Amino acid sequence: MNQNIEDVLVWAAIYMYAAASAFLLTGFVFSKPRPLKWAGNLLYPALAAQTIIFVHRWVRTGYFPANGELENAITGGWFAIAFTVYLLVKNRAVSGVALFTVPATLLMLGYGAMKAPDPLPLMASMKSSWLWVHVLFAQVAYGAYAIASGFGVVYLLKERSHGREDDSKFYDRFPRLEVLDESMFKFVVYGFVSEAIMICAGIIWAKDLWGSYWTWDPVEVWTLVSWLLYGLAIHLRVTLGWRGRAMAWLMVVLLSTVIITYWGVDIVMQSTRHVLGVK
Amino acid sequence: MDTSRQPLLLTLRWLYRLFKDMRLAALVIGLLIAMYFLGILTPQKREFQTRELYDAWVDKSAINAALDWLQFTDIYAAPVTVALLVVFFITLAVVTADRVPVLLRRMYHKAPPPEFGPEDVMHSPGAIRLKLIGQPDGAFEGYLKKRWWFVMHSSKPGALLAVKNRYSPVGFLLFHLCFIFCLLGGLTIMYTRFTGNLVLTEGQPFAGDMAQFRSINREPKFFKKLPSLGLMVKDVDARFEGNAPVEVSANMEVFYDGVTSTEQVRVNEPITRGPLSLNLLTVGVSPYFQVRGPSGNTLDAAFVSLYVLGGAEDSFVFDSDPSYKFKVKFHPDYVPGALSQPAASMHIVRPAVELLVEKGGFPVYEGTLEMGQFAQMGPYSVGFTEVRKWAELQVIREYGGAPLVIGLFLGAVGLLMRLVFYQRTLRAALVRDPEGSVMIIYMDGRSEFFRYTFDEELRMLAHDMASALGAEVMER
Repeated sequence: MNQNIEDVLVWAAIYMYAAASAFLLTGFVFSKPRPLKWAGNLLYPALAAQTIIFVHRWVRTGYFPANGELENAITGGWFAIAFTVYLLVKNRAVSGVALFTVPATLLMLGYGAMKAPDPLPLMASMKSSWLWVHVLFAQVAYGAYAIASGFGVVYLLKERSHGREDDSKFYDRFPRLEVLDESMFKFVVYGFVSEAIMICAGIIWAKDLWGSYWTWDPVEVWTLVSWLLYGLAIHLRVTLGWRGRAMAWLMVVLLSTVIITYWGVDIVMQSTRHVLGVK
Repeated sequence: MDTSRQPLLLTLRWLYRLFKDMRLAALVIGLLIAMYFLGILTPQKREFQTRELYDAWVDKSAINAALDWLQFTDIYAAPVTVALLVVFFITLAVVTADRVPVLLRRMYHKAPPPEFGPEDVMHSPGAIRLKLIGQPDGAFEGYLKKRWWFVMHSSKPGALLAVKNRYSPVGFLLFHLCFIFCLLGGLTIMYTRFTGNLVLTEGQPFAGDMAQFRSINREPKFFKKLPSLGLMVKDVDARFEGNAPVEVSANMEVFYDGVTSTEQVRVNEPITRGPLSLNLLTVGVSPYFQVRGPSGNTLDAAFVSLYVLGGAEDSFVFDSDPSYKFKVKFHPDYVPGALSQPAASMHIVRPAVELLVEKGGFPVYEGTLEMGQFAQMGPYSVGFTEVRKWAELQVIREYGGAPLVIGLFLGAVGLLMRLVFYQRTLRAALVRDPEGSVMIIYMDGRSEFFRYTFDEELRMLAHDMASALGAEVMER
């Protein structure tokens, strides 16, 4: 019964995200505002479904949902979508950021639902109060970086539309370039601080679990590389005044470091101790 | 001035300029990132199971030999990495010191009064107007101070400057100090760390004999003497759900610094004594295997610690005759005749082993033995008469943890201060009408990183101010 409820909600969320992704793509490709509105409307029930799954899974298993692909997708995707919905509520004009977060959440949830839909026993190595601190801040950071990339994409599209009459009208609904630029930076800062807290929590936890604060595990190295590069981006903006297009491109490119950390290392390299999925 | 000291001063100045140059910092960071990348791509010494395997890899090619010579196979402790870290350390220290006067200025430390006048604010294009009726002169300033704004009066009457998060620039210092503390802690750990893996069967004592370590993974370069430590595992427990170990623990007696205590060590919950910690890595079973001769006399016997949980197969040889190789799978609750699988459990009810004995690569025995049963192999017989459990402990002794954790804390606080609680400055002009009952406040301002979105923040502030002071926000 419990599993059925979750299955129904997970697949309902997946279908809603799939539809929203299609609407977003249609809106942007054909410069039509209406599909963007439909996509935005679909995100509210999808987020509600995901919230119920998140709470239900937590109550059912008794631990913070971060065990296996589906739980990581539920938690990680939740923050990305929650940020998106928050921005939509605050200012409907920024719906464009969903272009990045919604398809990413769709893929994560779909992959998780296919790979490990049932709750898994929580291994002794995961039974630590640091688990939820570490995972929570990781998900907040990655969600914030995804939003920053979304702002980056919208910035680039809006900037490119200047001078093209039809496109320009469509992109007029988005905030000014300067506001997009600052919003992008706000989310980078948010992600950067959260990632720093995530790394600190991980370091302290690792001492108790593995006996070393830092072991140069591939996931640790990539997390550090990602964090340093985002730090460099902040530095470039604050001290060297990098803004606008350069920053937007940087945000889009830097998201690849998160993807490598989160999926790439775990899937490609067998030597990591950070099992984000189930092996 | 003593002219003989001039070259030294010039050199020091040159070094100071060099180390405060951001290009050097960027270069060092870039090189460190490159080294860490290289560490992912280059096989590392610790990944080889034995020293012989590593030596064979080194001998395989000139590139491998060069990597070994450069110590890039232990890249995070390689001299090049350490040298880069030291340069990074000096750069950080110099940059931090160099920025102190700037930071003090940004915190308005002993700052002279601002010099703008009311007209400057009144004619500012982004200024917001607030109409206050019947409020005393200090109401506006009181509102700001109550909300943690630092207020400075202008040298010209009727104007003031307010700063929110005045001490935010301290975050820069804390963040850079964080790196210095972390580097100090990290280097101290690197040079004082001892780690060894110790496998102890229930009842087996450890009194500091280094030969008992299954492996010593790192030996300290300084503080080589380890504190006296005695251990004895009393009992071991593990609970499984499916194949997942959900609870792993060992009760043990710990003798440290003249005090004996009984402790429980669990995965994620190590035993800590000063710089020493004991982490529980894994547990398993130790059957007491015996080899008997033709007359039934025991030729060799030992508790053999096997990694067989989760249905895994392990193997061992006896020192007395290494030509026999024993491959084992363990059943904690064997059911004769049934198709029982080797279980992932420590709950021992009716123990049995699936045994495959090979000599010179050829099988000489294959079958299942319950406890007390013996397999006949020519003139010899082999079996096990007792089963105990074992725990693998990681014994760690290191210094430097405290500066590292302090560094992490400072870093987190520094980032929050600098990037979340960044400075906002507000300029205000207070103009009273001739009768004195109405006061118009003009406000503009800016925030450190967000020029455009600050407008919205300013509007919200004005509305909050209006409701708190009973004022009215006037259209621009």
